Amino acid sequence: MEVRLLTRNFDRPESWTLASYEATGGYAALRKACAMDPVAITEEVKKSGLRGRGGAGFPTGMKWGFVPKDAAKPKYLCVNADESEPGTFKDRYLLERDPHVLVEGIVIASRAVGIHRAYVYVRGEFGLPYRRILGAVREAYAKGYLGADILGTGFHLDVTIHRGAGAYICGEETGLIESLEGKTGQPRIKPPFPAVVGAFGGPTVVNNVETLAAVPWIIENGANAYRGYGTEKSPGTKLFSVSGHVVRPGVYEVPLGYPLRDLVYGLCGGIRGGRKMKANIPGGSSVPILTGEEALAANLDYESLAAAGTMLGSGGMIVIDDSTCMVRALATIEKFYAHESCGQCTPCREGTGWLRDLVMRIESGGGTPADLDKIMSITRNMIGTTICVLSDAAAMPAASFVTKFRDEFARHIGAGRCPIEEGAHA
Amino acid sequence: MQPFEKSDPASNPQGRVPCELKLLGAPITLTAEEEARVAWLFTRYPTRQAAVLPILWMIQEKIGWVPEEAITLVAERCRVPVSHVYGVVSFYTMYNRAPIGAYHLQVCTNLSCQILGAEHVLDCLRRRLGIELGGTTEDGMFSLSEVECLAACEMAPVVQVNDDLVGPLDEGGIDRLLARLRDSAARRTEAGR
Amino acid sequence: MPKVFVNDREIEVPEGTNMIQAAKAAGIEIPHFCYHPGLGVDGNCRLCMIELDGVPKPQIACNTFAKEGLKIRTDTERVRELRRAMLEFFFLNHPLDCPICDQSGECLLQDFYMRHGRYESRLDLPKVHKRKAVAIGPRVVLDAERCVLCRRCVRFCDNVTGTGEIRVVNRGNRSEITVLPDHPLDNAYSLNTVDICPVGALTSQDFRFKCRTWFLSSAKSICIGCARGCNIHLDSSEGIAYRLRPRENQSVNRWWMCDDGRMTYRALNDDRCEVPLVGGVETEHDFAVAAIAERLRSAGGAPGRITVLLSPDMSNESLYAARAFAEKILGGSRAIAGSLKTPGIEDDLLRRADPHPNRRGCDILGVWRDDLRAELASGGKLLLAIQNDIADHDPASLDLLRRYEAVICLATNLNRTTGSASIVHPVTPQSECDGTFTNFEGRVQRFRRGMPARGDALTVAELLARVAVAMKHPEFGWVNLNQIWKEMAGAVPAFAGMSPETIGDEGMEAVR
Repeated sequence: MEVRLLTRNFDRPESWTLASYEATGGYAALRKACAMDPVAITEEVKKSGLRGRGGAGFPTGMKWGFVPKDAAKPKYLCVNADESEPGTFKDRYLLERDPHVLVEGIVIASRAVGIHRAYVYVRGEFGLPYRRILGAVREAYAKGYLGADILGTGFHLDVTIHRGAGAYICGEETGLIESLEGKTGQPRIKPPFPAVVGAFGGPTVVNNVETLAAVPWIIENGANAYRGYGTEKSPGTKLFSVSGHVVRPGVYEVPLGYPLRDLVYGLCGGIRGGRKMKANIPGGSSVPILTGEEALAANLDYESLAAAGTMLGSGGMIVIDDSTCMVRALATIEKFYAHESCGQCTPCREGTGWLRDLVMRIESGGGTPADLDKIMSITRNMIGTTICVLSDAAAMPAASFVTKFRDEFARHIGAGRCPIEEGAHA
Repeated sequence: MQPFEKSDPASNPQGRVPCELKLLGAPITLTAEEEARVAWLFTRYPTRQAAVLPILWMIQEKIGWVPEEAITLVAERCRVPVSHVYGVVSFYTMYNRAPIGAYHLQVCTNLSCQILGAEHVLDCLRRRLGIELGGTTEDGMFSLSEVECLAACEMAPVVQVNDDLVGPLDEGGIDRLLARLRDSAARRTEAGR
Repeated sequence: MPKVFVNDREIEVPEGTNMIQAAKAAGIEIPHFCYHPGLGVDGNCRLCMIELDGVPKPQIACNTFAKEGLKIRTDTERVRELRRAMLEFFFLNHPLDCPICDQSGECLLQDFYMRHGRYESRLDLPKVHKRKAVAIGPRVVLDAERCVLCRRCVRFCDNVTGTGEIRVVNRGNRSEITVLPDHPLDNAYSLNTVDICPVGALTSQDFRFKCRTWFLSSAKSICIGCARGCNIHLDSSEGIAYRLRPRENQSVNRWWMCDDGRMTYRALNDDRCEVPLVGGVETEHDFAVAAIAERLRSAGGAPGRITVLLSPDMSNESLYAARAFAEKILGGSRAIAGSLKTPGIEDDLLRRADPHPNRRGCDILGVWRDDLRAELASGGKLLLAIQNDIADHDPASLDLLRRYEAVICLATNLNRTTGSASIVHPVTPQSECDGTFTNFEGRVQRFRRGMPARGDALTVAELLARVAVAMKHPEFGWVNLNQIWKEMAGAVPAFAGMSPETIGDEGMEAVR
């Protein structure tokens, strides 16, 4: 059962245009929000239980509430369109197919918090998504949804699209802020938190694209209606980007709490070639992996997945069939984190390189049995010891792969090569 | 021990700097339109430093890559140390540090693409084009790079050609892609005549 | 002031103190690299993690600030494990360069490993290699493999000198500090990066391979490069000075000193005057003293015949003694101080244009004369020049010296000035005796003897006392430094209260 809160406009012709967006009632939520007290907007979002959809899952209304009412320096909104979590592509869909819902969410959020300057940080690799959001912003300015005196309220908001240049770490809140300020994207120590000291020294809200895209529907239909979807602790809907060995990869909107097996075997058509689901990474490569069995029993909400020993994360689901070598898969993952580590703090800078080299050595046949316990020990020292969670993101997959597929790793080490016959690919 | 030599690559066999940028060999002059854009950029941010990334992009759009001379230009305009701009260029993957082919083939080798055959795609491209990763074909048409997840996993294995995503690719698809690109380049040259 | 508890030890610290400082106040060391009080908090090394009561996750001590009742622990098993883990990460790609690394013996990585590490290496993979032994400027050498990327040097160049030469480039474990070839590390304070570098990544070109640090003894001294009087450590071994390093003094130079000041150590070694010269011939000390006494006696008799030329390079004690000598032993001969040295560069940080350490002392003792050329122009019978390198500061002044029938030099180094003298006797520079200088702000600061006196060198006061004996004035002189200070404190209003206790290691403000 798919729902259409976030994806309602995806299939419309020229869905990215203002004409199409307004034709189905777009910007009605903004009109409603302009008539509301800004505090009431934040309250509604708090009540809805909307949580950050980029990966951290922090309650959005609460985050907005942390920004001090009166601030000496100007406040900023940073839209995190740096989508780089492997396996995640939902923000790309939103930017390409419904950029106006994001613009509307930006204006409502800015009005709620008292922000007059918003930056959309788009990852440098995004070509079409960048052109689409730029086009939507221009249309919005022309129509008076952005700029001075929006809808006659006197509220003014300026939006600037800021392109990244190729760095996963700029998806981290403070890494994004540093990059926006014209520096390398090296995350900041916290405290202070961005809501107090963020971009250019001012209070800053950083929100993911999907999070803001959910705001117009919530304002228009109310927090209670939003809570009608999902679970008690994880209300609403979520976009899942499903890829890997499924028949129908793509972006799927489902209510939180939806059974994982229904997503994979129902909406996504099951595993290609009738193979078995060997493993499942439910929320982007940073979250612990589930075995096929564990995945079949899991529900897709924050609490259930946490209880299952993993995380909802970005909802970037990678489905892995039984033709896959888990050692090589882990090597691919660790190469990514070693490449993307900003290098600022020691456990991550050195640990990601170490993990990559160890796993690659196992993969190429040079591993020793002691390597597995060593990996577990290294990952323990990389979790909770760093400035940001890239270190944790590199460690958790390694620890979970080695724990759950230990036999396979051991066989790979013993044989000096991959013991699995890799089947034909695409 | 190597004594300090200014601007002399031969003097330190270990390399002058940890991240090499090629020289354009001529100063970069901005057109009136480009100057206007720079001025406009400074109005969009509360600090001049924030314009470092956008101005570097502008230079890359103008020339196709970011030469060493760009570092000084951006540093002067944004009033930041030259080393700062250099650090920025070295940190991000997308600023090209040398001239690049007309079509930059960026092959994703991250997880979803890897389990769906990205290594075969990479291998196929290497053989077809006769170049290694980071290389450019002699006719200046194609450059080949390995990149991280492009957020296009539903099309895995995927290649980004300049700004456009192409996928899922197999050997046949690769051949068709290369043919299409060569064709459109040829038609552009024709039209240019 | 909030009270915090460090391992159950209660300590009261000012608001805003971080836990590294608080622990230090409680006598407990929390190992760390990136935090530096002069450079602020960076939080990247992760070595200073501690446990806070009531907080499940360990926190970095540098970014945890004092508030009433805060309880921290630095000695739990978890903290110990974390330290070993962090050290293991640091050592992963660190080259085993100790045998050839200048930092050995004063290296924080070595120290922390010995105190908090002591684990067996688990590395069986090739290390990451980076550039080694690269001069990144005229005075500083980089070994990028040794670097722990604490970024102290980057923050120093960005925030203290504002010159921004050093930058971290690349990312991950390929991160490396560097300068751009056309923008070398060449500011006037570049060698401070060597001090603050906790390991041997940044080292001094000048000090390279000269002496192992464990052979060095340190004396608390004062730089003589300009009127700032930066507090320093003088490092020497077996009578040779090897380097100067800044000594923290929040009232004078905070944690820094300039590169030129560091190089003043060379004069302590090179071209020293060690043996008295009479008529250009090396002589015995007694003979020289007798010769000096004889010259002074025969030139005296009428006022104006002898001029005692003092110097703003002399200590307060030497100036006081020489002034007294001129007055009491030389029948009220004039004692004047002046300089023909070209002023240096003055900046917003530390450097003063006045290139001498004790112009202020000359002012206080009333011996300073602005126009030295005018003062010496008329010549005379005898010029007794004490520690004034006048002809080296301005070669044209040899002409002035020639207007005196004879010149006697009491000097530390042999140079053009001493070359023009008929008698030369060595005196001790500030490295070979105790004394004080008064800096441009009127701060009286003590330097301590770090090396034995060279050859026949004596302090100015002691040498003049012996000359006085030879001139039949055995009553002249002082038994020791305390005695001369007591006298100065009583006789000179600006030096009131002068004593070892009031001067201490940080100096005393001269009374206005």
